[in-house]
Amino acid sequence: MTHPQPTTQVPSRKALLAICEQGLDLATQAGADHAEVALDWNREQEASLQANDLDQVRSSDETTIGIRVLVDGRPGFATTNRSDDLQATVDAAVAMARAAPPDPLAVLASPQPYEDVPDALDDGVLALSPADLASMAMGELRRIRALDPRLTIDSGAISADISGRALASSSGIRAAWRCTSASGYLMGMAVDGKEVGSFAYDGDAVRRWADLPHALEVALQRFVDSSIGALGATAGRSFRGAIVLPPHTFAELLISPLLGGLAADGVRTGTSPFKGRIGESVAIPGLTVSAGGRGLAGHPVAPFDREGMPRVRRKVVDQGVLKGFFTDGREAAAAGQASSGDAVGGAGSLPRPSATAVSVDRGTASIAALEADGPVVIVTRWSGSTNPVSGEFSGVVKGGFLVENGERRPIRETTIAGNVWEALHQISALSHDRSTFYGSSRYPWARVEDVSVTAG
Amino acid sequence: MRTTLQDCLQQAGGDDHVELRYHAKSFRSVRFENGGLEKATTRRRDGVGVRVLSSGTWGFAATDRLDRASICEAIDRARASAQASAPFRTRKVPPLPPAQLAVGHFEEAGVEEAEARSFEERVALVERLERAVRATSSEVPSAKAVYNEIIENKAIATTDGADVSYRLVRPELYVSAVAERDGQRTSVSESVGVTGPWSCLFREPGEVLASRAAQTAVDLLRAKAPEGGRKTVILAPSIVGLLVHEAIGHTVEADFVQSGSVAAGLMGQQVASELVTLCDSGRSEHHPGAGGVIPVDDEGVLAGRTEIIRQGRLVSYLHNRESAAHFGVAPTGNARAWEYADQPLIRMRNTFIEPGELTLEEIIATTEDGYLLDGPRNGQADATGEFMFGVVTARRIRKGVLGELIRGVTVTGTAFDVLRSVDAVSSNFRWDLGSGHCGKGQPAKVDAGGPYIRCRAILGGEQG
Repeated sequence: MTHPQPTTQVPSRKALLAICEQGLDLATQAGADHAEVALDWNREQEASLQANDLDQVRSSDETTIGIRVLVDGRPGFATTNRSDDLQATVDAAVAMARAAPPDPLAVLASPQPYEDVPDALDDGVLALSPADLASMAMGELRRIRALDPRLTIDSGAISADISGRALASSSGIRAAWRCTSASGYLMGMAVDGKEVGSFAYDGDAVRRWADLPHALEVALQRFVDSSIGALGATAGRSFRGAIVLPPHTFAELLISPLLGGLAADGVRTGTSPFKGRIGESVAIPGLTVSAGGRGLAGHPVAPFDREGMPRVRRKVVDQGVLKGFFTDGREAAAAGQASSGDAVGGAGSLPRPSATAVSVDRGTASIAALEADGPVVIVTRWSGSTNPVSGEFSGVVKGGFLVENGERRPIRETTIAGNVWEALHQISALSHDRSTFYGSSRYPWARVEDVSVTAG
Repeated sequence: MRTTLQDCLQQAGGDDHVELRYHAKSFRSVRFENGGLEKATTRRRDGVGVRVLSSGTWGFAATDRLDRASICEAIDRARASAQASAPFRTRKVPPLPPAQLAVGHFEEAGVEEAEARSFEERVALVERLERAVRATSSEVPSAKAVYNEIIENKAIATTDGADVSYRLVRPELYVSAVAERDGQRTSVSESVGVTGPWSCLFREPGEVLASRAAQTAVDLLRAKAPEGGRKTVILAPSIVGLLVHEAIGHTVEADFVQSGSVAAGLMGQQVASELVTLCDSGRSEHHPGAGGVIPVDDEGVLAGRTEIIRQGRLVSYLHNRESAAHFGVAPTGNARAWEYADQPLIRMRNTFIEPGELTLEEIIATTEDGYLLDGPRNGQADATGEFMFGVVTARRIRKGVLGELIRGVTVTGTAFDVLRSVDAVSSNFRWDLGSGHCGKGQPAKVDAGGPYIRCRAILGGEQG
C-alpha cells in the first residue's frame, strides 16, 4: 500500500497562535486588564447515509475564536467564527465586562508546564477525497445489510476531521495542538414483515484512517446483534430484582450521573449530592473510576485543557471511595486549590469542569455469570431521565431481554426505576470484559440488584 | 445579502439545482445562580451553506466568508462533492418538481426590541427571578435562573426561484429550584421559550414561574413514587406536546418513513381516535409565540400548516422537496438546518393536537381511576413506535376527584395505540414545549402543545 499523499494544508501551530496573539493585543488596547483567546480551527468532511443509500457528501471549514476578558475584576466573554471580526468581538467582550458585576472567582491561570507531545496528524485523513468517504460509507452499508437482509439503515455517516486548538493568555499561556480523527456510525433497525424492531445505534472513532475499518467491524457487529436481537419482542413481566447493563448503558445510567455530580461547580452551588463527601464510600468497593490525562491508549488528546492547564490522569473513585472533584480555574479559585486540569469546552464556550477519558476498572465476572440467577432484564439500550439532584431515574428498556429459567427472550414496553446513588451500592458484579467507545471512554458490564421493573 | 446570493447563482452557471443559505445567528445567555452571576456569553456564528444537486446526487459545502468569491468557491466544492459521490448513490434524486417558493422579506416581531435590550437588563431579569425562587420557601437552598436569546437572520436563494430573507428572535427563560428536607433532595425546573418579543415570553409573569418551580420542588419532597403499570392518564398540554412530538412527529418524518418507520404503509388508515386531529405548522396556531415558528424553510419553501392526522386518519407525512417528489406530493416546508454549516434535514416546527369541546374539570370528573400528568422532562421515540417521556408531577385521580401529588414518572406506550385510546379532548390550548431543542443529528428549535387529553399509557413506577 502506498503512503497517502496529504492534500489538505493544516495551519501551523504558529499560525494559529498568531491569531490568538492578535486578539490579545486588541483586548489590551480596548481596555482589558487580562485576556484569554481560545481558537479552534476545524475542517470536516462527511459522507452521510439515509434510507439505505448515500445521502450526500458535506465539507466545511471553520475557525471559532472565544475571547475572555477581565476589566476591574469583571468578566466578559464573546465568540465569533470570523477571524476578520476580532475587533468587534473584543469590543463586545469588553463592553460586557464593564457592565457585569465584579466576580472574585474570575481568574486567568498562570502557565503550568506540560509535556509537549507531537501533533496526532494522520496522512491518511489528510489525503481523503469526497469519493473516498462515499466509497467507505456505501461499503459499510452494503457489508452490514449483506449480513442480514432484515437490517435497514435509517442514517449513518463516515466522517473525517482535521482540527487545531490554540490558546494564548495575558498571563503567559501559549498552547497549541493539532489532530485528525475518522469516525463512522450507523443508526437503524431490523424489519421482518410487519414487525419493526427497536432502534440500534453504534459506531466508533479513531485517530488514523487505516484503523477505522477494524474499529467499525467491532462496533457495527454490536449494531447488528442489537437490531436483530430486538425482533420478536413480547411483553415482559413486572418484578423487583436484577438488571444487567451492557457497557454503554452502564455508562449512561450510572457512571455519567456520578461523574456529573463530581463537577466542582455543582458541588459549590449545591446541586451535587457529593459536597463534603471526599473520603466517603459512594459505590461498591469494586468500583474504581479514572479520568483525565492524555487520553486512552491509541486515542491521544491535547496535553492541556481548555484553559491551558496540564491534563492529569487520576482516580476520582477508588475502590468505591470518593477521591476528588473535577475543577477548572474558577472552581479551583473557589476551593483555594490549583486547577485539576479538567476544564472542557470549545473555543466558542466558556470553560467548565468535566470528566474526560473515562475508564472504569474491569471486574472478574463473565458476561454469562452476570445473566445467571434470573429473572434478569438486560437493558440493551435505555431511554429515560435521571434527576441529577435526587438521583431518581425512570425509563424504558430498549431492545432488551428477559432472562429466566434458562430462557432469554426479547421484551417490549418495559420500564425500570430506581435511584442512581443507591444503585451504585447495589452493583453485585462487574465483568472482566470491557468495551471502548469513540476512543474516549471504557466500561465493563454491570449487574445491579433491587431495581423496579414494570411491564406494560 | 439576497443580492449577493443572486449574483452567485448567476455566476454558478450550468443546469444543476443550486441552493444558497446565508445564516447569521447570534446567541446571548446569562445565568444567575445562588445570588451570583455565574455565566454570561455572547456568541455570533454566520456563513453560507451551499447545496448542489448534480448528477442526481446532493453535495454540500459551507463557508464562513461572505464575499462572492468565497461563496462561488463553496458552490464549486459542493458540485465537486456531488459529482464525485454520484457513482456511489443507488437511487438518483430526480429533478425537483416546482414548489411554492418564497420571495420577499419576512420580519417576525421582537427583533429590534431584542437588539436594543441591554446586557444589564438581561442580568437584572435573571437576578430578580433567581431571588424569587429562593424567597418562596426556606426549604429551597439553591436556585438558578437562565435567560437565552437567539436572533436569526437568514437569506435563501435557489436557481428555481426562491429569493427570500427573514429575521426572528427566540427568547427563552429557565428557572430551577433545589429543595431539601431531612437529607432528602429534589429539583424542579420551569421554562418557557417563544418566537417573538418579551410580551410573548411573559404570558405569565416570570415570578409566577419562579415560585411554581420552588413550590413544586418542596411539595415533591413529601410525594410518593407512583405505582407502575398501564393506567388512565390525563395529559396536560406540555405532555400532549411531548406525545405528539416524540410519539408521532418523528415517526411521520418522511426520511424515517422511507427507512421503514411504523408509519410506513399506514397512509389513509385510522391510526387514532376520531377525536384527534394532529398538525405541524410553521405558524403559531391558536396562540402567538410558538417557539418553532419559521415563515420559510431552509429550501425556500413557504412553511404553512400541515394536517398529519385528521379525525384519526393519517393524511400526510412531513416532507422536504426530495421526499415530496418521491411520494408524489407537495413539499410541506419541513427542511431545516440548525446553523449555516449544517445541511437541511426534515424536522418538525410547531406540532399540536387541535382543541376539542370539554373543559378540564369535566374530564377529571369523568375519570374513575387515573393520573393527571404535567411538567415535561425529556423524551425519545423508537422505530417501533414506542415512545418515552419524563414527567415532573402526577396527581392521583379517584372517582373524579383530584388527589395527592405523586413524584415524577416515565410514560411509555406505542404511539398509535395511545392515540387510539384518546376518549376526551379539552377546549383549552397551550404551547408548552418551546424551551430547549429537538435533537436529530443536529438541534432544532421546535414547539408543541395542544389541549388536555385523556388516554391510556404505561407509567414506570415502583414494584414491591
